[in-house]
Amino acid sequence: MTYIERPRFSCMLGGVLATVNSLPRTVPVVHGAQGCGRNLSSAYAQGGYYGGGYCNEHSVPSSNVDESDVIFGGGETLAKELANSFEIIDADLFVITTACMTDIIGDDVKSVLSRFPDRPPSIFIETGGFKGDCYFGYRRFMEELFLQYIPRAERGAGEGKPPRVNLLGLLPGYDPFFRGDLEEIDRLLGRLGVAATTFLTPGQTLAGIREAGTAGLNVIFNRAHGEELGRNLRESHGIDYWLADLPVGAKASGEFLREIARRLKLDPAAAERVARSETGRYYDYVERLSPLVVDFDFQNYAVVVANSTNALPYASYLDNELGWLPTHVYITDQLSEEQREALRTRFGELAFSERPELVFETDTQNIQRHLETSRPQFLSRTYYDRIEPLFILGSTLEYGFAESLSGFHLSVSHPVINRTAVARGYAGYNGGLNLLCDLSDAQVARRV
Amino acid sequence: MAREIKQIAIYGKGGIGKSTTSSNISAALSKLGYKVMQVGCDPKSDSTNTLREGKYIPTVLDTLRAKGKTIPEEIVFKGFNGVYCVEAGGPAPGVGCAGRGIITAVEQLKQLKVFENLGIDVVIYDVLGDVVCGGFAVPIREGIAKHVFTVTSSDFMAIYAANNLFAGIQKYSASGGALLGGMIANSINAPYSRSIVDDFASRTRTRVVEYIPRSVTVTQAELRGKTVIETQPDSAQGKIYLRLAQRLADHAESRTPAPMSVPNLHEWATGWATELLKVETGEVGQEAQGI
Repeated sequence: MTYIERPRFSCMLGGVLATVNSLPRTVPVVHGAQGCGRNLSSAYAQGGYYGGGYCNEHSVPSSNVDESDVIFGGGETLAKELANSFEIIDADLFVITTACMTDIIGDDVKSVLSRFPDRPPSIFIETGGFKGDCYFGYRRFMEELFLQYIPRAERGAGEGKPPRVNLLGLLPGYDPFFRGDLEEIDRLLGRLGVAATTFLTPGQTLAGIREAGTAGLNVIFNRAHGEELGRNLRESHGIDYWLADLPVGAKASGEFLREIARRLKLDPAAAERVARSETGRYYDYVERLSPLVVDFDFQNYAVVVANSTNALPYASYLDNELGWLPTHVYITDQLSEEQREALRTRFGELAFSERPELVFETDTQNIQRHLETSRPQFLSRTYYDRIEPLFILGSTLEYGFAESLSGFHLSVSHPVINRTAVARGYAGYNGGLNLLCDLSDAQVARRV
Repeated sequence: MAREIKQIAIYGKGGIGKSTTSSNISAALSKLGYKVMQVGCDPKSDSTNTLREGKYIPTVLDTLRAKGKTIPEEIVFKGFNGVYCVEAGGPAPGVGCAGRGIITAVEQLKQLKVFENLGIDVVIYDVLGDVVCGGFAVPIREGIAKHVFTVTSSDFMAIYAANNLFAGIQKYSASGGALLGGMIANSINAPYSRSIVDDFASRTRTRVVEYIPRSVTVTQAELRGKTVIETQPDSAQGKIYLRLAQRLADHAESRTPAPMSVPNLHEWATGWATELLKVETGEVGQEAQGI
């Protein structure tokens, strides 16, 4: 029997609600049972307490279908909910979603929607939880957002305007530092003269989001679902795509900027100038911390436990920027063999001074079991055959595990409930410094 | 100790004559002195029509939808010779989930304890066609009905549906579900029809409890909104239904059937097609072949 113990992801509807929560002046309506909207908003909030959307975190309009709706169809109940939502809520975009039971009984949501010809702009997406996980939900939602809301650019629409890219692939809550990451990437692109649609950060507007169709490139920070998302958006809107790793730290960020310049046919010298100035500032800070790192020997064996979006970039940063020894990289989302293969391939392309073991494992207890079994030296006591110190970059679920091995711990992956994310991000140059700072904090925190 | 109520579920392909057979069985059982309730488990809600002179009755689910709860007086109606009639009801075609509807309706009857309170001896559930989803398996799954009978003709699709039902029964048999009482062969007129049904019964380790011929007596009765038991109890057809009812009343032990796999079923059917072709072309006379 297989089961997932202490899961780190939710269902398709969960992914859609988490995403909609971060869109400006956008409100989801759930056609489902009482629990879905409420519980799923609790689930994504565990990504560093990222809080309420335009209609507040837990205030999700829901049709709250009951047994009678299941038997006779929930269309009328949904119609009531829609009428009230459209009347009461001052939103510029509604996203009508479904849940498992309304999808199973096959309620015809489209025909209910057609009863409201004067409704505000609305997107409808079937989101029965059984269709896939939250990452799949994000992918499908972004596809529908493009299809139903973002116009395809007229030929030559981008002429005379700065080059534009869309930043995709980070799922709010389940990528807890998505906002800080996106803002930093946006900042770097801005220095190159490239406009970016982040969709999910403060300051984004729906008018701006509707311009996403004029982008010349979709940059997708997600290798598990990115290929399909990229292909589908290329088909619907004619936009090329690039599956990128989230660039964490100076080296990865410099490569990111150079690749963006190459793909958008920008002056490579300009990218070089930006990279050089950012790198200078970056290492100025790194240098200031180096006495602490050197004097107190902040060199660790590291274990990364994260989703397929972040695990490899974090591991790569630890080795290539900090010189730590990542021994294991655990990828915790549920992936098909094809998706795993794509990640294995990418893992093989990344440089490591000593290559860690890549493990796909959804269960918290199995991660613990695997690490203790494959490297029992982490378990041994001082003066025996022990390797230390150990640093686990994982979720809050790994907190106790790290303690049991007398190791350090930093919550970087969902669920993150022992710290808040706010504007924190680990991408880019600033993100690299943030991560260095947080990893160091974890090691000096007990000095009082 | 509570008196045991004999609960029987009757399944079969749509249009095969389940409701006609069920109603005649219910009417005949009442003639034999039993207190009978027939529960129609089909959103069409017409199972008990011929027990009530062709009239529809309010369904459990309609009442539940309108009032949020039900009381026995609003869902149980007396029909011919005191047979109690209940229709589970369901959603409009193409909307909602009829399977969940059946589950809810059956739960309502249990909660209201109607069988116990009315002193029912035999309950006949007349269940919609194929066991298309979990809801329609409820009468056999929840330990509600103890015995299942399937109405089938010798047509392949009817036998296919019966075989599907057997698979459902087999699946739930290990966990206390209903077992198969046997098959009720309907519309059996041509000699080969009987042989086909008998052959299917023996291959699936079940038995045929009655052979019911297609009869104009039934048509006449139905057109008047009645059962044969009401209109012509002494006719040949009426006697068959009475005999069947007695057999069901006496029936004590049901068994787990052995459904055929789909490829085996098709192979079996092809074998019969070849046999029937020989009969048609005159290669083999029906009498000579014993079919």
